Amino acid sequence: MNALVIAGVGVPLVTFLVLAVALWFGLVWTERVVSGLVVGAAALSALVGLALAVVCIVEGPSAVSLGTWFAGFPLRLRADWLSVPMVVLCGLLGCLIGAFSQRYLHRDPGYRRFYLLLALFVAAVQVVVLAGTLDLLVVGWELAGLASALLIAFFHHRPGPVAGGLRAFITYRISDIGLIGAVIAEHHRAGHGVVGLLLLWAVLGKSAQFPLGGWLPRAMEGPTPSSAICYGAISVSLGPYLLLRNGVDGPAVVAVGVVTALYATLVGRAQTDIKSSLAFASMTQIALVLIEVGLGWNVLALVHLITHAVLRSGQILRSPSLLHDHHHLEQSLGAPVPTTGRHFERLVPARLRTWLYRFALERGYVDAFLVDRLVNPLVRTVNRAAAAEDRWTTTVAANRQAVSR
Amino acid sequence: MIALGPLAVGLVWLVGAIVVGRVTDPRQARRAATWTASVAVGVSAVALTLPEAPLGGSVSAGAGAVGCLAISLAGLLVAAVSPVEGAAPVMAARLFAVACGLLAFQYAVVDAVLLALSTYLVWSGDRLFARYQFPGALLLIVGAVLPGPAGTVLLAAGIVIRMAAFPAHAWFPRFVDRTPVGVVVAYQAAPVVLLEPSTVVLTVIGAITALTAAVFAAASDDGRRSLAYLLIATNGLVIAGASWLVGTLATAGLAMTVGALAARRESLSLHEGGDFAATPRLAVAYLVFGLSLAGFPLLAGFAEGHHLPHAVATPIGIVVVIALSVTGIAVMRGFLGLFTRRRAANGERDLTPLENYGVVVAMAVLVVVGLAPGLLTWV
Repeated sequence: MNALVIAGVGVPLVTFLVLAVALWFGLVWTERVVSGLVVGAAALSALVGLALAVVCIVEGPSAVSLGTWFAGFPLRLRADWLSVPMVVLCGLLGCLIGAFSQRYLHRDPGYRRFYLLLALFVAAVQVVVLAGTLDLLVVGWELAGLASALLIAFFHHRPGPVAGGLRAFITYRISDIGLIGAVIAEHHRAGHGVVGLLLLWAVLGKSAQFPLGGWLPRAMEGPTPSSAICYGAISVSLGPYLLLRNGVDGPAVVAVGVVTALYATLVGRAQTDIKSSLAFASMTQIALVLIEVGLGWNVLALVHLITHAVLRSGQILRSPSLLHDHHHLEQSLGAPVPTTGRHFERLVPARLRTWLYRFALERGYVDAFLVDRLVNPLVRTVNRAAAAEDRWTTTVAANRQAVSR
Repeated sequence: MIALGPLAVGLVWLVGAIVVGRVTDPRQARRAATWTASVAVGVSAVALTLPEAPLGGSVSAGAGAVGCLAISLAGLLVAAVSPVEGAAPVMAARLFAVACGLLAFQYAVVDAVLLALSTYLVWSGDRLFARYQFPGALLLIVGAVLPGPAGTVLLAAGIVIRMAAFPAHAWFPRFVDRTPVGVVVAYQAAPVVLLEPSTVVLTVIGAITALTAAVFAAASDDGRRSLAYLLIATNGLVIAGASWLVGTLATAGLAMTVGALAARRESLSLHEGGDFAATPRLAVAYLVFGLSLAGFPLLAGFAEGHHLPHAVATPIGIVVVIALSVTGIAVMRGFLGLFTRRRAANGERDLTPLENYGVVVAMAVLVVVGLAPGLLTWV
């Protein structure tokens, strides 16, 4: 059992380290070798997950203690009904995305960098799902965030992906404060309610829940395969997983889910590109999972999480061929594809519909509020203070200089 | 107590300063400085293996050797990555010798005098620097001499000024802006924190400094200015209780990558961007050193980032956590701002073999210590 659990985490992690060292020292491995290593590692990780499932069924769930990483940091891994399905899911999707990208990114200058980051992401997620303590979970959580942000900014010559990557990273870091706060609170033996609220704060950013979800549609600027695994499937699913793992439920979780589900489904209907539309659809489904978690329907939440991850990955991988698929569908039907959402027209009054459309088009004014009313004024104030300090130091130095002359 | 290991490393740096000073060709001088730093790293590593004798009277062999190793690694980065022109390798070597001296002579008065000496060495006539640093050095000396609470208060005030903690930080961005980066790193490498009296006030000042400086770094649009505030933020964390060993090495790496970049382009504006494809190693080095400062997993700063919030009172711990988080944002913003969004048209060069040597050694240490943080406590 110990070897299996360690292999689940260790194989992708070692693959990442090997690739990183090779790339740094300029070892030009062929595309086939690089992708083969990562796909193989992900596949092996999935197989380990399947083996763990068998062991869990036969022997029951188990926790593996590997001693301490350093003083005050126990290394414990856990294989149970919650972690093992996620290990298998992450390994399989990592393998699928790796195989898909062999053609999708063929001869792309960043081909090796993509696989390096994919290996880091898979390793980080396996750490999150197998972690037996919150301390260890933080390690995977932060590495997954870093890998996600760098994957979004993959096409680094274009400003859009870079801005999207930075925005995602900022959101992650802000919400990570909640997770690290929860670790500290747990160490200080704070109540379950405090820890739960801090974890919920961590989930808001990672799973793109209201009001911190603005990064998700922008994250679709990254390569389609990484969008599929990160933002359609695994990355956004880590939030509900965190709550399930730590037994956090209750009205606050339900409230976040309800508000986000309503917001995201409304905004998603006004999107004009397929990837943004899928991003808001993901946000909606994750919000529904949160409602299930909040109500204590843990098994349903896990099943919903996994099925959504698989479906959404497929949709995002297929999204570049949307027009092609649409034409095929119309040819098969022999008529235009019927429009959907007519029930809104029947149920909602016309004036309200206009307002709602405007609201959805502006993405609920959430981004405008956060960026224009909170972040930009703060940045302006800080820069004004720095400029004032500059002027003061220049004046002081100049005056003294004048006296000395 | 006098520690032989650090004394030997300090002597290596002093001899190196003399040797480098006699070399007229700047390129040869840089090579000589790199050799000196490599020897200093080797001697530090040997000193690590010598038995430490804390009760052995006035002389101890291994004490402070790990500190000297961190300082010498920072020195290696400075020597190998500094630009050929305007690097001031002799002054940097002298400052590293002084820093090792602080570890060799473990008497507060001697340490305070050595710090004053380093301030004098660095002073280039800038009035603002003198206005802050000379009174600060004086406070340290008087504080080290005076017994009791008065001495503690003066020492604390001296440390706040020397380490550019808020509100005594105004001299530092200008200092970073107008001084060769290698000299900034060497001046920062002195373990001032060894003189630090353990007071709650200092811990609070350190945490507030870390947070405020991190916010200023994250908001800055200039790579060099952002670096200055990141160095202040690290100083704040060290004052609050983080390891100065990791801080010294990571700040040295970050500062030298920024210095190397400044030598390659005219402006370090985050709005102008750069080309990751042209300088991948330089970009990755910036990210790795920066994330180490921000306490990212698998890097040396992680264990400290994990311990520190637990070791201090809860409100201070919260401030430290937020500071580390914002530091990470500043680093990522700097990375994306300096290395993306532009296609290199001017043939910007990636790390040279000599630069690569210094960076690889320092990064390897950060990664190894990050993977096995117990090494820091083992030594």
